[in-house]
Amino acid sequence: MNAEERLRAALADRAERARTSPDALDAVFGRVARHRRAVRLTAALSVACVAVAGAAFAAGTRPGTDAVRPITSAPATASPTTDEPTETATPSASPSATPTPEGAFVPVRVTFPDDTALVVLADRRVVAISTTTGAERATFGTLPPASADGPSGSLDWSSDRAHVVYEAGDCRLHRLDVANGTSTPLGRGRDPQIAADGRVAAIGCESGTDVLVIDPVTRRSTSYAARDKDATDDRGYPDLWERQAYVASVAWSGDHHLVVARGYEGALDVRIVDLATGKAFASDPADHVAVGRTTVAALHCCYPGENGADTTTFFTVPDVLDRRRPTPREETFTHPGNVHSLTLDARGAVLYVAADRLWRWSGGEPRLIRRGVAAVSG
Amino acid sequence: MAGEAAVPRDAGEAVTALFRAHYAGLVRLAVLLVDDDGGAEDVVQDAFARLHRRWGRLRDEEAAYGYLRTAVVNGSRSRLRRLRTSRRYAEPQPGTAPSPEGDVMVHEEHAAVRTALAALPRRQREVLVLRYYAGLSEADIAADLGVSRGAVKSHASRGIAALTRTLESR
Repeated sequence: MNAEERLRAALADRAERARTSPDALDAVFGRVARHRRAVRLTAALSVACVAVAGAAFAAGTRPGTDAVRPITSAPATASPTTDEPTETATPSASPSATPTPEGAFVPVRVTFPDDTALVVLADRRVVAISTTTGAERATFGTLPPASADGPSGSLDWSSDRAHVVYEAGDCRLHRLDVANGTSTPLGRGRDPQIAADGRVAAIGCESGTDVLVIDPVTRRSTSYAARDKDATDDRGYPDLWERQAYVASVAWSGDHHLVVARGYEGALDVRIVDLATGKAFASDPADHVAVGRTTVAALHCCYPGENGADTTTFFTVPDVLDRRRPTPREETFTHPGNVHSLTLDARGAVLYVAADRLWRWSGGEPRLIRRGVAAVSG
Repeated sequence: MAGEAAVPRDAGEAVTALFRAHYAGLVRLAVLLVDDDGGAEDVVQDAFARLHRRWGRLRDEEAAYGYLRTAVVNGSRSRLRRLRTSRRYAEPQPGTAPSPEGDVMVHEEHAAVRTALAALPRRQREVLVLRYYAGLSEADIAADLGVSRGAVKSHASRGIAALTRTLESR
């Protein structure tokens, strides 16, 4: 048999053994019903949140802690649904900043100390917490689920703490103005990251093989593809890398470089990309990257450890951008589990989430900060 | 796989009719793309639920099956992307184990082919599954994946060549 016949036989054999559950049709209509409930609850919650937030400002209260918390204490089921498009990614010269359909975000005007991080809790509430004690300092609102039954999306807090970009279900990116509680749609993407100048980098949702850089004012985006130079599905992207690959993680380093972990169903590597020239410099392999002022933190995810359990190895790479060449790892440690969110706080410590727990590592043993956390941004 | 059938205009009735006609076939397609029975069902159910929500906006009801098939391919891709890291070291799925009465040699042969298929770039893998399992024409594959017919040809040719090389090197 030639390869085509062998392929045909193998596919038919595997497909034949696919199992289906008897209540699948009920499951379909269950999803439809959940979607309808969520739409109704979202509409009600949105109106209530805007009204209460407006009343708080009118009364001269300073939202941020106690004034805000009751507004956002809605149950997780009140979160809006996901995949009914409510805005388009079409660039616009003058996007309007309005409360999002998600609507649960409220103004927060407090000065946050350095040891503050923004986290998404297991119930999808977005709160600022102390990375020292885990205590809540402000509640921003509630994220919609990333899918009908899925986890929350991702988020990033700007270094000046003025904006939050977040993924609101089904890859819809929004930019929240923290001071006035309004949110502007930015288009589609995953794992958004804000540069110091306000531009947003995100992983493209359609193929997962490109990085988008979005101007928050015009909402125009530029795509940078991680693809083969001889790939046939040429969509006119600028060339940045030699091989087509999935983008696993992206982070800004200054306003001119992106640090990208990418690869194709195998070992990932890290590229440092100069956006002006399109040139990319290779660094150590990693599955996830985060960038601080002078340090790149990266991790290897999910490798089987000696006892068979998943482990995650961290390493930090000082001055990698200056050296622009593969850099030896420094300061490694292994976490016994699958880490799925990583950031560096203002003090350079590594914050990460594993098994719904937020940990902080600045050398030595990592310290448990808080339970019930889904994602973190320093 | 069956083509489109006439469907009623009511969303519930229409989705039920399409479900009865195509659910199992779409799960079989999805399982070849995600290699996970539970995940495949999840992707297909999600596609039906989306179709229900958008039924009123469907311009051509005859195209409903095509919409479902595209949604399944896209959903499978999204699922793989979400799970790509954790799946890299995941235990083999129960569905890939040989059946008690199965011929071990045949199973090993099929497993080797599937492993070689899984190592191909995503687009090549999707083209090969749609062509050699679903039996779609180049034009249909191009429409489902949103690429040109030339690209489908190229992906298929490259995929088969890579598969041949891998299998011959065993």
